[in-house]
Amino acid sequence: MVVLKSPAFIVGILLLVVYFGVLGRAIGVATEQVAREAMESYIGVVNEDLNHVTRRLLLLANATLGGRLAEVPTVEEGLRAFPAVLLVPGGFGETLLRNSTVYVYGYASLDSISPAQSSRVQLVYSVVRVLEELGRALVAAERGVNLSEISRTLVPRVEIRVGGRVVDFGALSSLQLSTMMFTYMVGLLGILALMYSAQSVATEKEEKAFEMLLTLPISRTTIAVAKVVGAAVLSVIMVVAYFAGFSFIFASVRPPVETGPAGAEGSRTVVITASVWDLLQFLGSEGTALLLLSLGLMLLFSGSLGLLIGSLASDTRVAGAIAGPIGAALYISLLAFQFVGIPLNPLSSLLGASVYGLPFAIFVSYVLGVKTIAVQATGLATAVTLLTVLAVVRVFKSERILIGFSMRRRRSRPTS
Amino acid sequence: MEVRDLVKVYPGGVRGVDGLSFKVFAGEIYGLVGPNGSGKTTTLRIIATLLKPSGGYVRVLGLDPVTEAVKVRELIAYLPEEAGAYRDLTGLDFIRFFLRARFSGRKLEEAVEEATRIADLGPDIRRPVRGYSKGMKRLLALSVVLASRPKLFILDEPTSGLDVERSLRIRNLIREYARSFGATVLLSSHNMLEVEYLCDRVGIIYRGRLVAEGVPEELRARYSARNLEEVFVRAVGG
Repeated sequence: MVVLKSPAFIVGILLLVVYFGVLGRAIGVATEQVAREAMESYIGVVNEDLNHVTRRLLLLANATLGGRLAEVPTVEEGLRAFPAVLLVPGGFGETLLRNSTVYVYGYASLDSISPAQSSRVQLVYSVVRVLEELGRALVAAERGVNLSEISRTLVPRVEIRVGGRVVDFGALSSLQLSTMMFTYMVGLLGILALMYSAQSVATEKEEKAFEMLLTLPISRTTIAVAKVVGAAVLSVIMVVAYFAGFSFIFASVRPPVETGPAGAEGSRTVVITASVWDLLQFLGSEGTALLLLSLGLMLLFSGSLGLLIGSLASDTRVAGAIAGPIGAALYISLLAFQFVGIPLNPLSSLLGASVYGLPFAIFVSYVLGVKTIAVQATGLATAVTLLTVLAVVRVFKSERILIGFSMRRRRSRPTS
Repeated sequence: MEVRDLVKVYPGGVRGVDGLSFKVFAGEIYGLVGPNGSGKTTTLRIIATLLKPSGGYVRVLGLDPVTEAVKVRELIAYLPEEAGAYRDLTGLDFIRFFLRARFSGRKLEEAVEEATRIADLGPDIRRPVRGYSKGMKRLLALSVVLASRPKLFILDEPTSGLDVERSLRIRNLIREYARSFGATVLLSSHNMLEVEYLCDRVGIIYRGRLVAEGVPEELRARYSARNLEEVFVRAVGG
C-alpha cells in the first residue's frame, strides 16, 4: 500500500505504459510488414526441366499461389529480384512420374537473422509443399491411380544466403538460437548492472552511511567509478552463474529437426545447437574485439544509468521503482529489436546503441558483411554512454546527490 | 575556520541559512545550538563539503570547501546527525572500510584498533551491523570519526540516540581528543547541558542567523540567565 502511494512508482508505471504503447505499435508495424512481405512476395522459379508434367505442375502451382511464381533465367538473377528462388532440376518431371524421390532446390536471401526474417525460408518450404501436393495429384491423374498410392517424394534442399554467407536451415536455426541465448545473457548483464549500481547508492542513503562516505578524502569521480566497476563485476559473476546453470540444463537438449518428408530417401536431420564459440567464429578477431568493446560499453552505460537513478532517488524503494521499469523497458526493447530484426541502417544502429542492442547490431552486421553499420552503432553507443557518464559525474559532484530530486514541491523548511 | 555572511537557499526557495557569521579558533570546541530548522545541519554540511553555499564566505583551515573539497576532506572528519552503517558488514569491517580511505599499513591497523577500543562493543564488533541498536551504530560511526584523527571534527548531534552512560563517555572522549591532539571541534546539539559541559564557546543560531555568541559563562551573565536554555529563550526574544 505504501509503495502504491510513491510518486516514483506511479511515474514508473505510466512511463512503462507509454513506452510499451509506442514500442508495441512499432513492433506491430514492423511484424505486419514482414508478414505481408512473406505473404505477398513473388518467388522466382528457374525451370531446367522441359517435361510437360513439370510445366503443368508449375502452372497449377502458380494459379494456386495467386500468380506469385515468376520465371527467372538463373538463381542469381532471381535472388536479385525476389527474396526466394526455386530451382526445378532437369529430369524432375520424369522422376516424379516414377514416384521416386525427387529433389527441388530452394534459395532464400535474408538481410537479417531475426526469426521474423526467417519467414522467407518458410516461404520456400510452403511452396515446396504446394508443389508436392499438386504433384501427387498430377501423377495420380497421369497414371490413372488413386492418390493414396502416390507417396510423398519431394525433398527440398534449401540454401540460405545471409549476407555473403551460405548456410543451411540447421546452421541458420543454430545461429538464431545462439544469438537469442547470447542476447538474453547480454540483456541480463545490463539489467543487473543497472539494478546493482542504483541499489548501491540508494542502500547507502537508506543505511545512513552515504554522508560519511562523501566526506572521505576521495574524489566523487573515484567513488562513482568504484560503484560502476563494482556493479559490473557483480553482474558478470551473476551472469556467469546463470550461464553455467543454462548450460547444465540445455547440455543434453538438442532437438533434431526434420527437413524433408519423414522417412523419405534423402531426408536429413539437422541438429540445432547454441554455441558462443560459433558466434565468435562468425565474427572473427576484429568482430570479437568490437563485441567485447560493446559489452564493456553496455556495462558502463548500465552502471552509470543506475548510478544516476540511485543518486537522485531518496531510498531503495524509489530507486527500485524507477530502475525496474527502465531495466524492463531496455530489455524488452532488445528482444523486440532482435525479433523484428529491423534491417540495419544508421537509424536502427541508433536504436541498437540506446537499447542494449549494440552487441546484437554488431553481430548481425558482421554476419551480413555490413561492417560500417557496426562501427556507426559503436560510435553512437559510445556517445550515449559518455553522455550518461558525464551526467553521473555532474550529479555526483553536485549537492543533488544528497538532497535528491523531489517530485513534490518542498513545503516546509528542511531539517536544520 | 571562518564563516561570513553564509547564505544557503535550497531548490524551491527555502532559506536554510540566512547571513550566518562565526569563527572557530584552532584547538577550541565550538558548539552551534538552536531549534530544529534553524540551520545548524545545513551549516555543518556546507563546511563538510556536502552542500554548496548560495552566498557568503567559508574557509576551513584556510581552504575553500567548494573549490578545494578533497583537500578539506583530508583535514576533517564528519559525523552526520543520522550516521548509520552498512547492514551486511560487521562492525569491524565497517571501521576498516572507512579508515582505509585515510590510512594504510601499520597506521591503518593502529587506527582500526583505536576505533574498536572507542566503540567498545565487545564481541558484537564481529557481528553484522544489521543486529545493532541505534546507539551501537552511533558509537560505531563516532569511533571511525574520532580514530580518523583529523584537524577538525564536525559533529552533528554527537550523542544523539545514546544512553546517559555512553553520552558521558562520548563527551569525555571528544574533550580528550580535542585536548590531546590539538584538534578543533565544531559540534551542533539540542542538548544545552552537553554544550555547556563540552564547549569553549557557543553560537546560538535561530532562523539561519547567529543571535548570540560567547563563552557559556559570559552568555549566562550577559542574559542574566541560569543556564543556556534561558540564554537561548532570551536571545531569540522569547
